[in-house]
Amino acid sequence: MEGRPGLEADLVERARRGDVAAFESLVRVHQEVAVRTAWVVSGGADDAEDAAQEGFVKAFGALPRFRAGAPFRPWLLTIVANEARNRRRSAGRRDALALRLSEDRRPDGAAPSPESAVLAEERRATLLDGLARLSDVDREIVTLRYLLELTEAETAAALDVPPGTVKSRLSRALERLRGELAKLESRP
Amino acid sequence: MIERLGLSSAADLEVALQDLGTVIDWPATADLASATATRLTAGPQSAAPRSVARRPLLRSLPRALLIAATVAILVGGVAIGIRFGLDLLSIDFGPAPASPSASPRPSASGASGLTPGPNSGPGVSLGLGRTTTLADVTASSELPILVPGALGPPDAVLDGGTTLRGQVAFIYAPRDDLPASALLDGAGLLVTQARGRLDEGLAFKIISSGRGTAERVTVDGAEGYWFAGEPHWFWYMAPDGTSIEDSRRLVGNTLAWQRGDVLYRIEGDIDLARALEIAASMR
Repeated sequence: MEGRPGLEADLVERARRGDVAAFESLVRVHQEVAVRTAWVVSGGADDAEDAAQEGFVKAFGALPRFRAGAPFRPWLLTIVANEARNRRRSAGRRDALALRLSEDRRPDGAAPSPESAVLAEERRATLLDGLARLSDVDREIVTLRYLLELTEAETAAALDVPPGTVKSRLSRALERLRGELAKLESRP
Repeated sequence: MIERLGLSSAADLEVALQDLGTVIDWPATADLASATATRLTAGPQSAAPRSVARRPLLRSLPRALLIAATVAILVGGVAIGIRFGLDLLSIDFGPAPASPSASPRPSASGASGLTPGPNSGPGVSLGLGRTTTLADVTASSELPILVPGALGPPDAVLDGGTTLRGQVAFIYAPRDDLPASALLDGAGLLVTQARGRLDEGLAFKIISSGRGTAERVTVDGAEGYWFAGEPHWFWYMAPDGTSIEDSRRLVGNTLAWQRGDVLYRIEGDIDLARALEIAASMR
């Protein structure tokens, strides 16, 4: 992950030598994004945390095969996302990811005025509506790349596709999202 | 509508999607790190996943964990302190100081307040937002922007916008009393201001991400923490109660304190005394 090579490399190296406390620190930093990634690729499954935890345990066992100096987070997300996908396939689930706004969110404190806050809320609701109209594949990649703010490499890792595929899929998904937003605009 | 909502360009759409990500009802995350470590330490017999609680219980777990962490610090302090490098003896868990009075807005005079800052240079690549001016950000931000009088106007001002929840960042170039920091992309000092707060649980979480220390301090009458030692990741609590991971970068020596609902941070290769001096000059 960007900006943290020194400490992360040290923790990874210690974890490779069997230092569970070092691995625990790595998990603590990445657990939130890992659970969210598992949740997205599993179609919003309730067992995303279980999948993430299982992925962490498998990652610890796979650390000897981790390439020294490589970025850790994409590698970890690959394992966690694979675990989540496998669970979904095993269970025969085909649930679609349903995104919704947090109920306990507060008005946007960063908005410079009440009018801006109202506009921001309308923008979010419209975007959510547009996302809901996309295919599962499009919604998944847009959610990972932009809502979860994964890098392209991390998105590719989570989806188990080449980075170039992420670029092309994202481009098409955003185009379709713009199309859906335009349809919403023309809706009576 | 799309134009009115600011979604007409590809860049606008991407920023709006990132903003949407900050208000999505993501699944709550329990402390999987401890659970994973417990399984790994217990060995193969515990290879079966330990099922975690489902919603709605999950929603209450982060708060419960923070409380548990706080209790753990208070009750089992020494052992945990050794494990995480927390200098517990220097932490005073006494009553919080009285809420400080509102701070006056700074004068927007000075070169940095008149012209936009550089688009490149030390610290500007840290991903802290768009470059702006002190005058503009003072006028547009909801925050009571404070400027460290001990340092003068910043060399660059960055507006985090909605993506960074309205955070405002000041960057100071290296100079004799502000050595260049590798963690700050060569800048001498970073000052950030954002709606948010810290508590003992988050302080514990911060130091447990590395091998640093935390010391509770008073900053010009306000409650704060001094994080030092090895670089660490930073978390804080947003006004809506969500825990925000500042995952874009590592932070080094950091003085963090709160005035009202604003969390201020000073980061750089400086010691606590210098950080307190700079913090006390913020007006």
